[in-house]
Amino acid sequence: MISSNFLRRAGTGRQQADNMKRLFKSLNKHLNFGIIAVLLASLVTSYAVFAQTVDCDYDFYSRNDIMFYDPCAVNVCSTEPTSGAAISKLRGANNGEKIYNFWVDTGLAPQQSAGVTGSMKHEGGFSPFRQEMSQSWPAGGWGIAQFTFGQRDAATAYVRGAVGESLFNQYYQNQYGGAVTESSGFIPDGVSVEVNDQFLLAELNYLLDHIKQLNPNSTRREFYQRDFGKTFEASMNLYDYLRSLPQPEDSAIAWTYLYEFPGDIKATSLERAESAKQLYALYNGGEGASSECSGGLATGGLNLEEAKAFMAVYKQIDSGDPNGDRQYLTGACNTLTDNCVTFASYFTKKYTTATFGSNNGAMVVNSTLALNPEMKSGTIPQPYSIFAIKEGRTMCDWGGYTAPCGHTGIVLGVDTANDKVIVGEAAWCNDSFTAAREYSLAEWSAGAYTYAYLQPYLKGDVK
Amino acid sequence: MQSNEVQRKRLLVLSVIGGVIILGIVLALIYQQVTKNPYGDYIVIQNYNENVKNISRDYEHNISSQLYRTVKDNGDNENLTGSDVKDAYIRKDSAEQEEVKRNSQYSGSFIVDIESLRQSYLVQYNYSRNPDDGFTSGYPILISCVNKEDVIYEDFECGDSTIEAASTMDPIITILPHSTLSYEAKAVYQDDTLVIYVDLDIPSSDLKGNQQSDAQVVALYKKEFTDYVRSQGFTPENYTISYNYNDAGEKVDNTIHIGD
Repeated sequence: MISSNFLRRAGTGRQQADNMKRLFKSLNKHLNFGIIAVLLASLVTSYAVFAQTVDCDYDFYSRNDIMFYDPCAVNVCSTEPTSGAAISKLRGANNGEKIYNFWVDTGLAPQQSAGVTGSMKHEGGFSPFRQEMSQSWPAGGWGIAQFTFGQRDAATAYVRGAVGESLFNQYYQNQYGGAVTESSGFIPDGVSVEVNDQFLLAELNYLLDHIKQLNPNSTRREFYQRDFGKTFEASMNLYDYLRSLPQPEDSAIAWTYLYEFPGDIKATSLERAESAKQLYALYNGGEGASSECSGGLATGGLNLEEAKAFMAVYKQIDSGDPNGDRQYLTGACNTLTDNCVTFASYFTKKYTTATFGSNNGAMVVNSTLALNPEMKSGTIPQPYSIFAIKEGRTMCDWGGYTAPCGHTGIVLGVDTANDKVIVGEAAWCNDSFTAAREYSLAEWSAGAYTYAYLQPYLKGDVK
Repeated sequence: MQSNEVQRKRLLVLSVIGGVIILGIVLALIYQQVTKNPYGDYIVIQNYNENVKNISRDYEHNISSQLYRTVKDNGDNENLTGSDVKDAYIRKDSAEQEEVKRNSQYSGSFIVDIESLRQSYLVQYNYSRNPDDGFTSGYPILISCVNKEDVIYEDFECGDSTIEAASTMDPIITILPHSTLSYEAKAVYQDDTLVIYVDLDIPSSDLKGNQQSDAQVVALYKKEFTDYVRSQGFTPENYTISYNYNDAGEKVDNTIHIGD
């Protein structure tokens, strides 16, 4: 708009050139001011968020003897108000994922959502139609949170209103109240996905509404304090309290004590905390993620320069093997080292106490896991882990069927700040490919790559 | 005077001849160096140039050398030299190539038949003009045995490096470990025997009925796992599976005990 007005007024030739100069000068001035303003605003906001995060995390981590960590959980400890509106649509492949996403959509962080979902798994097994097994219909618990007594009355009234009288009467029946599993999406036989989603959404919205008003009674708060040393401020509601919790396990425990309050509460809550951890790993990526904060990624290992130096030592095997490292190899093509598997073997055998599972690249992680029963694995890279990917265009025969031969190597470093994963790798018959490289951490955390975590098996300093 | 002239002419002719011979030797040496395969002995694929385009001379050397090594490792070929094989040909219509990235990445395959040995091999390659390209990670050049449907000669118990690498473990590890919201399964070798450990993740609320209903729930979860195994082309009955619940619906200790 500015430029078009300006140009309309402009003459021709030199006058036009002068006008253009003035235009750019003016734009430049405004732009500089804008940039400074944005920078200042960012600084102020960053400091505020940082200060809040540090306060929030320090308590949790220090109580758990974690004195060094990546302070990345900037959005976890939020107490900013959310819209509070009911959710109108569910997202996910099955009821577990739908419940998790529902809580995310309400404004809970992934960790908090996983905590609530993990606890609910042990109530209705993710079925919105579940009837308590030890009770006769219509007594006992019902639905995703096993609403009991007055809660059952209130929840069913809410659901009836949301799905309509006719649909409610048709499906609020004992015959749909049995156990369900993932293969059916956690939906009982005879119930369509559409009907399931209507009941599930209604029950979740009821819960959301309920916990935004819920101030747990003193018994629950006291048990919570007694077993976990945590204080629930009486002035808070449960929803806001959940939003202050940094870990999936915390949220599962809080939900169990402050909302569900089952028998044998401590053991039950720990069981639910474990489920929360698994769900968080499943929906937010990586088993290792659960012990970390927001991004869930460990930072550390070698930087690119160190990784290059590390690979140079590996390459010395081809130049007379001054370190006597040939013993760690599995075989290669043109040289002693031009094979992705042989580099993974070299690292695992030389630097760790783990048993290396030799196979074609795609299967090296699975093979190594099969030989090391306690070894953890996941889809998020951690420093010093074997990676494997089943993609690629060259195909292998895997005991009768054909699939990509894939690729393997070692994650030598993870740089979360710059979204980089630093790997050491080699390729079959391609000696010039042996090197340390950086790739996008986001791409390498998207699920195609699997990792066998070697850190607990390290013999000493990798450098 | 005249004899000196003749002598000079003779010397000139001899010098020219000598120079031509030396030049010829030098050119022959240069040609040899240029065409020498840096990867060692190799088998010339006679119709390679007609069938494979866009990839470098170095890749051709690498492929022909890998072919030689694979052939040498098979059958009674251990004393074979590359020059012994003069009839390696790319099978008609077997050569395929895809330009994965314009003017940069090429992926292809072809079958080589060697009539004199009555053997065939599958050649697969990924080539990039950028040697640092991740496209050439993994197995950018792979010589392997042909698929069953492409066999034209009698069985010679073909082996290759990928078969050797993959054959040490049960192929079921291609699908394990595997986790769902209902179970976590992993394959573990114990004293060379493969055991599949499956932890069923049954919500406590599902196991609060009587023993019969608990057993039904456990059976439902076990079926979830065996259905998965079957869907991947394996037969669960062929494997030792250790669950954390028995058929009566009771929880049991299936902790992995290594070395017991």
